[in-house]
Amino acid sequence: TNSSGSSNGSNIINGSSGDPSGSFAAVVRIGGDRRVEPVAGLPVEIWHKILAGLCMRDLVVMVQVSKPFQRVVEGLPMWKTIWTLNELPALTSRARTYMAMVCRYGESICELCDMYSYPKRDALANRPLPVLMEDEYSETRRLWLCLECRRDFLEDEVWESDSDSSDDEYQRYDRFVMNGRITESEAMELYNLPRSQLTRMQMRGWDFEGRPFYLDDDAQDLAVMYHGGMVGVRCVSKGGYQKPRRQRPKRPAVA
Amino acid sequence: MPITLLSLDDVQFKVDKEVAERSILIKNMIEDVGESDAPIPLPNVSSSVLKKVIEYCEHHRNDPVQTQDETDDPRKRSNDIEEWDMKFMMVDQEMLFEIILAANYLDIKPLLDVGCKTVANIIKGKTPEEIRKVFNIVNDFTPEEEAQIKKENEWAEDR
Repeated sequence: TNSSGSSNGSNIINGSSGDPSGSFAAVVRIGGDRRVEPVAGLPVEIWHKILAGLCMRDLVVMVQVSKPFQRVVEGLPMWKTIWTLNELPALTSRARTYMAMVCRYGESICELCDMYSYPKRDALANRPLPVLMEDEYSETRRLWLCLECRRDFLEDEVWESDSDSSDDEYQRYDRFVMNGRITESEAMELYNLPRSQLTRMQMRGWDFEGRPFYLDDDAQDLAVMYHGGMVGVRCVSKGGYQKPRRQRPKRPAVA
Repeated sequence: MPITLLSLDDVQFKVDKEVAERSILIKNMIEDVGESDAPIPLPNVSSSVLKKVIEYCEHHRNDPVQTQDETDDPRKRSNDIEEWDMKFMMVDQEMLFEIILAANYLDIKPLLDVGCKTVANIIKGKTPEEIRKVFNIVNDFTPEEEAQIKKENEWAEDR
């Protein structure tokens, strides 16, 4: 990267092509410059194209492969883009590259929209959480999506597919639930829903203390939408989550 | 009128103009030179690779020209990879890289795209050691450097 002391080397940069010997020297210099030296047999600009198709967590793995790859990944323009987009702090001596600074906030950055998000009091699931998505090879991959992207994803994928295969997505949170009923305060505590959201459910009646109650199914659907999937509900629920009780094989009775 | 292409190792390939012009490089050459019987030399492409590339161009001879907006962000592109392309790309790593280099040189953007996607797909979900193995890369980090870099990136381990 250091081109001081060589006037020949600047030819290629300002694009001037005065004397042929000068541009030839520039070509030779470029060939010897570590930034344009091929990495593992491919030129760096092609690696840029390849790596642009990877998510942040895959790129973090690429960095660990070798030093040339570390330089290629750190040199991707996306890091500065994410840094600028989220107005992240200025680089420091400990986080000297845009990539290093972005990675400091990596857990909070969505792998789809690149936006930073952090949990809020009324939206604890407002942070990237893993979602299984199908890629262009029809293979399922985990991507960490922010709340907004998870909601979009839910609308696109889950509601359309209308399948029962999402059993895991619908593990019931049955701690407070009596006969599938749930009161306002229970719904708020169990699913971490703000009061404003509850109006979106249909009230089903009054319990013996005169409190309105709702159907747990409705509350759960609402929570799934609000927190961006079951992954979000699980993230915010306060001890309400119970693992599905597996039936253990009984010991054979000793005769 | 058929066009004759000449590979690095002096093998001639006769292809339809329409097929050859999938390569923007060749298309421009034909436009510059005009109609001619002389073979077009491709000194960067070996016959084995050129054969593969022509196979791709034959299959995609009637494809519409790619629109620009598809290239914005590869992660947000939703168009699935054609099954034929996927099978076409099932070659060893060396050939895969050769095809990518040839597509880059010949300026065949859709082929370059699918090649890059294939490499990206190989990388996805693998550990550093697995990636080194696939692409024949030497680990040039010292154990200390490796430990340091691993520690810095701990947050990304759950993926």
